[in-house]
Amino acid sequence: MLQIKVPFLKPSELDHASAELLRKYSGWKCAPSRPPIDVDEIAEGMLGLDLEVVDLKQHLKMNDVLGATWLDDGRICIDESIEGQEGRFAFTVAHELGHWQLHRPIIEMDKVTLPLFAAKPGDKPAPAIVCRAQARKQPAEWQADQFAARLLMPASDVIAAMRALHGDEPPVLAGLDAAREARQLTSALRTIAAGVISGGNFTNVSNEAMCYRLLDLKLVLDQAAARQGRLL
Amino acid sequence: MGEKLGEHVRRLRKERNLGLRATARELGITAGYLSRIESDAEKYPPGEDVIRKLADVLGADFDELMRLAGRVAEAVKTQVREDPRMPEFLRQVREKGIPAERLIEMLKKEDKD
Repeated sequence: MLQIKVPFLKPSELDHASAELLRKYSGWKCAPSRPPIDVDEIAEGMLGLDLEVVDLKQHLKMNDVLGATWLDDGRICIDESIEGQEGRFAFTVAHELGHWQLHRPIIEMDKVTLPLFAAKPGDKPAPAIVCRAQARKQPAEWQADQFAARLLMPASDVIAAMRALHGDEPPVLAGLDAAREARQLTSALRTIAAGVISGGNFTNVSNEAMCYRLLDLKLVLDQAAARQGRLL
Repeated sequence: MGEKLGEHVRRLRKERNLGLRATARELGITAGYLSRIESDAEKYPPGEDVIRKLADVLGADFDELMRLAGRVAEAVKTQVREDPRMPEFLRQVREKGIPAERLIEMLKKEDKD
């Protein structure tokens, strides 16, 4: 497993990278890319990658692995434990696509300059990127998560779904920031997320992922913070 | 060496632009199981029912898939079991080195006559 050193990416750069992939997908499909975004089709159909569902935990001897990407083989593997969970599965595929789009060029470049990556003939290729539940805070993992969220929940589609449900003013909820700091999601936020998922046809997005997307896009506001903002 | 079952299935699926999970859904099996079939990692080859569905979904030759899986169709087994002369017939075919192709041609000709 490699620790990838990645350059800092601004949110606008992540927006651009995911939008660019969606634009290419739209062109490839000859149809607008609307939710639910078929990340399997982007991976297998458009990019020509191999998608496999395997017992990664056993294969890599890591009990918290969710996905891995073999860059040399063009192969994305998803752990079979999440096969029945559409939201988690699609997010993990989208996350691996994030590595493919954002980090593959960096690793490819490193290969040219670092002998570390030189494989002997006949060597079994090792996965270049292994994504574990506990490794989420590494910059590369964070970037891939952000990319995945943008790919599955394009801002324009989320905003349109929110407007259709709640009008132009973002809903103001009590205790939102405090709950987020405690890594919790309020039931009011979860209810709004469920409405957006249903109204916007985000059928391959989990409620949790939509909650965080709504918060990141500032489409729901904390009551105290909103009041403070009005006073300033 | 020719293709193994898994390589054959994956190649046909990709040629037809069918996704792993979409194909598995059509087959009524898990994507994990289809992945194991495609990477020849499954301990036992898929059964006749799965192979029949694979042939339908991929537009593949059922007999070829059965051969690659090292399986013999139930209908063939029944024929051999129920016809007492069948073992002798198959023995002679093997001893005389008659290719199946020629026997099929003979049967077709008989049908025409």
